[in-house]
Amino acid sequence: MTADRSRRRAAKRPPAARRATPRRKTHSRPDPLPTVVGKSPRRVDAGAKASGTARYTADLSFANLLVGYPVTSRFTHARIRRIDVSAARRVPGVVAVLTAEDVPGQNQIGVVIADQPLLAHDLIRSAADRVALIAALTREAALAAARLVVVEAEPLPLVCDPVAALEPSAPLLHPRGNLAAKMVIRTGDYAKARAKAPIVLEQTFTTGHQEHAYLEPNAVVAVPDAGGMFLTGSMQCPFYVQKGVARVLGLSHAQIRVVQAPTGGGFGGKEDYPSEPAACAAVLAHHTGRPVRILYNRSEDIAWSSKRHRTVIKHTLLADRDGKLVGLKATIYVDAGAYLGLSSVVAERANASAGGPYRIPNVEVDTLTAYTNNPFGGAYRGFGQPQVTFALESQLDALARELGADPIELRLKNFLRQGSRTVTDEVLRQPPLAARTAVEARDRSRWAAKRRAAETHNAADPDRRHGVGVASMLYGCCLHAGGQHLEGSAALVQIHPDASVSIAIGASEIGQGAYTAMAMLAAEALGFAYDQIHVVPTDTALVPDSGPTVASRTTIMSGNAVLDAARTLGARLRPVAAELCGVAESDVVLQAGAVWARGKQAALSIAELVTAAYLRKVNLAHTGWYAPPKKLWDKATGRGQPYSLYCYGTLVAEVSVDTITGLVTVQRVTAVHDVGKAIYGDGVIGQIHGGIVQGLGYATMERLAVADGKILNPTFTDYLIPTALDVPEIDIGLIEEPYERGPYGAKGIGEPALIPVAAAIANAVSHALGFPLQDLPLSPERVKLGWEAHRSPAAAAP
Amino acid sequence: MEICDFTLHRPTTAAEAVALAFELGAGARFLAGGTDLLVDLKQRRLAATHLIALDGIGELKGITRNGDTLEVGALSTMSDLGDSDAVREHAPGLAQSAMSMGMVQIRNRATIGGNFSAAVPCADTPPICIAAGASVRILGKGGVRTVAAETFFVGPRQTTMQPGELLTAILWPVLRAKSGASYQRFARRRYASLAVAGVAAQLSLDGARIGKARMALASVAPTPLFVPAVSKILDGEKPGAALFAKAARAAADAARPITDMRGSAAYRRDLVETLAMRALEQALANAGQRP
Repeated sequence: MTADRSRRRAAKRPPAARRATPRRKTHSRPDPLPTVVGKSPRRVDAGAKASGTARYTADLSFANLLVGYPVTSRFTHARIRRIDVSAARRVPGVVAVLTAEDVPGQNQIGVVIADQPLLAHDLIRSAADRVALIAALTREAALAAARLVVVEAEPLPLVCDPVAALEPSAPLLHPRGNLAAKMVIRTGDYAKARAKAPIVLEQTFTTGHQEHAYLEPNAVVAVPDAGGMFLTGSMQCPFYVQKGVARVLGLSHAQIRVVQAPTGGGFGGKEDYPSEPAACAAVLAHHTGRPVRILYNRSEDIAWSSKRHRTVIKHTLLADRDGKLVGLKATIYVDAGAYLGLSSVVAERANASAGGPYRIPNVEVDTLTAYTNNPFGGAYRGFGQPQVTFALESQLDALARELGADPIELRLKNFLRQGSRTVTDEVLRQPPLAARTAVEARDRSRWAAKRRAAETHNAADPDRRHGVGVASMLYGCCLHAGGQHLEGSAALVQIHPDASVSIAIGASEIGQGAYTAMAMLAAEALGFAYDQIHVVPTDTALVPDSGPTVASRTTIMSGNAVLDAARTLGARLRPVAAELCGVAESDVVLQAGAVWARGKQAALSIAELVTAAYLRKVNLAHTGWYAPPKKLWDKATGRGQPYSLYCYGTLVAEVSVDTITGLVTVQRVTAVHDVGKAIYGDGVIGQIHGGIVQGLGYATMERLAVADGKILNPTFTDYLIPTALDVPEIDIGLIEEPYERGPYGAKGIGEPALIPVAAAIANAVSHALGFPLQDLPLSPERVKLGWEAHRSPAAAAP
Repeated sequence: MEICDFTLHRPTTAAEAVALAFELGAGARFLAGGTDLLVDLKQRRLAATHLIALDGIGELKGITRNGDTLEVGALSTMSDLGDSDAVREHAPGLAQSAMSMGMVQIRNRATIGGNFSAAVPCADTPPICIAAGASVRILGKGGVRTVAAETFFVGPRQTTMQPGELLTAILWPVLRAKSGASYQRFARRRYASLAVAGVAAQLSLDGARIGKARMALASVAPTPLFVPAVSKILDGEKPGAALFAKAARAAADAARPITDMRGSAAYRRDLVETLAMRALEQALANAGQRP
């Protein structure tokens, strides 16, 4: 990786001749290339986070603060007969114990449809369902009271499998049935293709839940404020929290102000979920008239918050003898858990992405989202795509095995090209870069030599086998057409009289480096120095609703809004500069922290310019806005344009597998991503590293043990995530082909970084062992059992 | 996390600690590193109204050689065992098993006395002690008694110690010439992960033959499990792959694993066979290298 990055940087350095030019006192204007964008300055939040002065939600103090605690029951699916909180109310230090009838507004939550009671009153549908809320002086008192809440209920039969949930005999969780949502794609004529296809590959895949395991568990404070409510907490989407809290309090959006606190990670886990503890805290604060804080401990967080969806995928891939794909049929069962949450939206992305970056003319995809009594599925980095990518990429390797073809050559034969039709029948206008990522990943990883070496090694039938696998992906960046009404994004840029700059965006900083990228974009577009730019915490009272911080959309959406604001302010400053420099406005440029007039650095500094503009009463604040063009898409057929743009990537994973224990060790990963333009260089590299490690955990070790809808391992003792020792050697290649509508050409990288990882690792394990792996995670016991089953006929043969 | 209310006591001698424990009765527990106890209290798996902290008791600390015995004080941490020249020289298997456990922070706190007294089935240090023929020194109201490590454990989280009794030291017979030991464990992650199964083996060489061999298992029975059948198969025999395979199968047969979220019973039994083979091969190699 290091070598690669130095190469990338070297390529961007100005030619030697230009560097050799002696610097004059009055500098020539730098060339028109960006001066900040593409570099890696210190993160805007690094100092506070590294020194411990960043104030997370648990660090905040408020007068008369109470501890809030949501009370769950021992039931997973039951009809409530009676909830008795009288003993709980008598515990010393308890200020309030509330049940459903105490919710002042609607007792319903849910970001897409409000199908979830904030407090259960008739039915309990999951182990995480709350029956009461407690506010107390201390957590000890709250816990003591929680143990005294009596719930009498009649247990109902459990629904724990998303396929069985949709059978006619299944007990119903909701009156409208267990089919929470259905998405389809119908393109071409699958039945006809199936009848003629010389190669038909059918496999069923399953994938497990994944816990987000962010550093900071859920945390929120609600403070009653002048008839409304102020909230701050650990979250990705302050505007979702604002709407959710307004609904349960029966107040208007304007009466709810939400400020994002420094947030210790999200990965999608803090997209919709924080609205739940926020609504609980707000109801308690409303009732007591005092600030209420809810802090989950780790076990509570794992037990109550959303997970990556468990899926079952029945997959048929059709191909001709040349390895050309001719058809795809997939039935994707998505386990929503007891309430919809974001499941239909996750399903929408899984559905639209089921064909990957390939030309497949005849497609029939059904994505069925089922209610069950299992832990509740929600947003998780990749949003339904890691699952369908695992299935499709495994099938491509099965096809390569069937044909005796090289897996990368097979993919190169089938990748989308400019003008190709995608599986949703969209004609691609931008150049699809899948093939470029695959060729670069192949060459960087020395794919052919590594594959041969592994096969030679395995020919001696050692206990420890080697494998090299590949996976490619296409990622529709930003929101799906089904959610495009949320896409508009705002940014407030304000230049202060001393030429320092505040920016406020509608997206949030969740560790991904968004604030740093925004400060860099603002600096670049204003022509100010990077260290003049300050990013204020995301606040619903400062910027218009900008939708959620999801879908790898922040750099593009908020970034374009920042550019819009900065360019507007630049247009207000330039006439002042022109006047003071005595040149035409078209001869003035602000760049790299200086004013340039007719190509020479002016005597006028940026600070002098801003002061002059201020004294002339120029408006130096502007709220910028960006919304992408409308996408046409038909829900009934799944055809049309689901996304504004696509990112491509290819990963090569090298593994060793101990066939005696079944343990998979990932040795090396080569990741090549099409990023448009890396705005914040270290941030892009960090995202890719993090995605690989999180994907490696998903692929090999992260197994949520669930029995009868209850999580058996809500601790890091038994829910294992990778440690530093599990991180493989990583080599990263970036393809920087500017995206025409991206800020300075940027695309998203947050989710693409994770999506192909599990698929590539599974294909590598499959290469090592010689049979397809159909179930994630590839836990040691599973791999060992698969290996033994694979070997038993061979063992019996002689 | 929230812990129950308790009174903390800090005696300065072992006798004082034991007297206090007997006086306080069932609500009292000894606190060493706290890596098991504090978690158990927070998760309400255990209750205590009095904690008797042992950290002020000098006589429970230190590792000393006394003739052919290495006396390992109960308060020796896993890191102490891994860092100690005496342990590495005279009880290399103990150093190896101690360093396989947990992570640096845990190893800096967790003590061998606690690892024995908590008596969880997946504890990493007891099997190697059993394989080495070590014993446990216990101080009670009536004075000191010593029990063989393999008879110390009676069930999950249960030992032969009566309430109020205190484990004060592990007595380890110094590893002789032409002897070797090994602890092999399998966990689902390379670092900071509980053993799914573990096998400790120790053997001595008598010319070309095995003198004595002993094996004990971790995480595959209600207690750390001594496997006498392995000694019967190996003692006095010429070491070799077929013999070791037979012993490994005997170890797998002796295991009484359960199925839980870390692994199924069948998988654990298979692991025992593999790990037993690896432990014997490693112990043999170590014995050959020990002049």
